[in-house]
Order: sequence, then C-alpha cells, then structure tokens
Amino acid sequence: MKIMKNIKLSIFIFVIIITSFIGAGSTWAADPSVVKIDGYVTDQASLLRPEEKNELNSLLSDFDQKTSNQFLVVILPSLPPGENLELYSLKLAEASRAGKKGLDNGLLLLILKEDRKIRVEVGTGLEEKITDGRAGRVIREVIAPAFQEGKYFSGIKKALFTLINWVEPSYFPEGSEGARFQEENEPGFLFFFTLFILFIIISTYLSRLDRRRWYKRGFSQRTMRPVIYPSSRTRSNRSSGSSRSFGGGGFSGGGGGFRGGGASGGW
Amino acid sequence: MRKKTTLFIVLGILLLLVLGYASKYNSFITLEEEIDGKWAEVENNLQRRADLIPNLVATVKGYASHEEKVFTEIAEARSRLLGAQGVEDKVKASSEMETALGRLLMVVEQYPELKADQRFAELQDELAGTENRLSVARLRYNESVKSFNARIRRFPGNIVAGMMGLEKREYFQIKEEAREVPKVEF
Repeated sequence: MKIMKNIKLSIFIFVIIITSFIGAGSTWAADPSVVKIDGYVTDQASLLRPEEKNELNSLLSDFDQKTSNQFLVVILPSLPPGENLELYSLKLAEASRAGKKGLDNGLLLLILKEDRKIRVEVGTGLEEKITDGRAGRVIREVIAPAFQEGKYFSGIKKALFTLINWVEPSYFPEGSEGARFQEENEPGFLFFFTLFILFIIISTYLSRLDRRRWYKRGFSQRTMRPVIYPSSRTRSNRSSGSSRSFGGGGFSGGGGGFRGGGASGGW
Repeated sequence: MRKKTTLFIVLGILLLLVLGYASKYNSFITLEEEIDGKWAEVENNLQRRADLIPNLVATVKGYASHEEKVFTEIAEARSRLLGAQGVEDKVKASSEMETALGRLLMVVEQYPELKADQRFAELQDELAGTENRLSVARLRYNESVKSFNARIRRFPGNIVAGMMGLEKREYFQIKEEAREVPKVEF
C-alpha cells in the first residue's frame, strides 16, 4: 500500500514538474485581419481583367521558377479600418512568406484602389538592389503617372518590368518587351568606367616604359601587368525555383523575411 | 525495499529538476541572444538614419541656406545620437533626432522647388524607409523584451532566472509627440 502511495505521489510530482517547466510558449498567431493571398496576383478590387491578371501571373511565376525571386501583387479596395499602410503591408508580406528562406528575396506590391495608395514592400535580401529611393521612384515615375490616366494594367506591368530588371538584369532576353525597361547605365558609372579604362591604359604604358628603362640598365625584367578580373555575377539558384505551395490555404511562399524596407506613395 | 523506492523517487525528482533547470537555462540564453540581435537591428537603423542626414541636409541647404537654426539643431542631435551609449541614452537621443528631423521637414514644406527635386525625393524615400525599418525593428525588439520579461517572472522560470541573475530588459519606448512629428508625407 505504502509503495502504491509513493508511486502515485511521485507520478503527481512528476506531472507537476513537467507541466510547470514546459509552460505555454508564446507563438505568433496568424492575424485574421490579413487578406488571403491566392497567387502571385491577388485582385480583390477588380482592377484588372482576367486575361491581364493571367498575364502578370505567368510573368511572375516564370520569374520565380527561373530566379527564385517571389514577387507578389496584391490589390485591395481599401485598407482595413484601423490599419496603417506600412504595418499592414508588412503583415501581408510576412503572411505570404514571399521569397526564399535565407535569401529573403520576396517583394510585395500593394495597391489600395479607393485609398489611391501604393506600397512596395521589399524583402530583406533585395534591399540593396531595390533601395528605398528606387522603390519610391518606381511609384512616382512609373505607377502613379499610369494610374492617373486609368491605365492600371500597364502601370503595374511596367513597374514589374523595372523592378525585375533591377534585381536580375539578364532575366529579359534582349529585344523582348521587358528588356526595354532596363535603365541606361547611370552617368556616374560610365564616367568611372572610362576613368578605370584610362587608368589601366596609362599604367600599362608606364610600366612598359619602366621596364624598358630597367632593361637598359640591366635589371631583370619585371612583370607588371594590370589584372582585369572577369566580371562575375552572383546568381541565386537560377535553376531551382523557390518552394511554394498553392493548395487549399492559398499562396504560401518560401519563407522569406521582411523588415520594413521599401517605399509608399499614391496617385 | 521501501527505502530503495524512496531513494529512486528522490533521485528521479532531482534528475527532473536538473533537466528542467537546464532547459530553462538554455531557453533564457537563447532569448537573451534574440533580444541582443534585435537591438542590433535597431542600432543599425539608427546608424543608417544618422548616415543619411548629411546628404539630406546638404540637399536642403542648396535651396534654403539661410535656415541655419534647423541645420545646427540637426547636427547637434546627430552627434548626440552617435555618441550615445546604452539603450536608455540611445532612445533619448533618437527621439531628439526625430524632433529635429520633423523641423527640417517642416522647413522643406516652404520650398516647392526643393520638393520637386528628384534627388531630394529619393533621399526622402530613403529616410522614410529607414524610419519604417526602425519602427519595425523597434516593434520586434519590444516584442522579444516583453516575452523575456514575462518568462523570467513566471514560475518556475523565475527561480532559474534568479539563480542566473537575470534582470528585466528595457523597452524601446517612444514619446507620443515624437512619434507624430517625423512622419514623411508627400
């Protein structure tokens, strides 16, 4: 009897200790106020015609498969009451999990039809290619002017072309529609490039001169050749697209992270 | 026979206690690391903002060179922010910076040519983006501080936390008026 009692007691203590140590860990609950995203393009404001939506969808899906960057377009009639544009867009982006885990190469273009507001939410990994200034520029110079004329589809498409070209300059084949949205080299770059070439020419010339002089004096020949490194470009998993799933729960991206980069604007 | 059972029970409880302590200990260490990581992100953004300011001021000066007072104010706030040490100091310096920035942006309102300047528009986007990133970093930092502070006070974590000498972490609180001022609007 006594043993039975002891065993019961020890089980009781065991349970108490275990439960008290485990405790309920606080987890991020899914926010119910966040709209469900059903694909690369979600249009709840009927801003686009079905064939327009399909065209954007296949562009973004192909871009995802070839480069693993996940760009999403979400169009809503207006912001849910009590929400702030930036925080809401971040919530949406996080819920969509756009981008590949680790690379964080997701992007969300949020358009609020009645509020006439636009937000470009840039994944942490793309912040260097799409700086806040660039994100703002695409809103001011590409989307807003088109939207003011009621050209919603072309505004969104051109914006996506521009953004894609910033992230993967070689994605659009030469001569294709998207390639026209490649930015010309910034003047600063061209200037420095010319300087660099000039510098190489001059230094090669000088080193040759030097060598000849040394040669005459009987010094051993020095090899001084400017080294030009082949331009290497880092590519992020070109062959394998990022994981994503569509069934039942709508779109769910590869788990990319966001931290509030991007820009807001309106039209 | 009875003695043996008691011994086993005592040993079992001790083992559980040790295991429980170890798991709490580890989870506190992880949480502390998380808080430090999130604080680093806050600091990054403060630094980023401080780095943007000279450019911004230079651009504004091109159009509004006689607004000396605002420029000195912002330069002072910037150097205070860069010199600040520790959470409390940095939070204070950051809110001063925000007030100064708010004044600068109010000055900007009076110069339509400046607002039309494309370079300035981009700088303003960068600043707005940094502000937004800062507020996200602040939010995430505060969230992990909140969960840390709650866990070190709840039973039985409080016992372990007491033995580890852990103390409550500070929140990054902002004054209401400071939050309103620096909003960058178009």
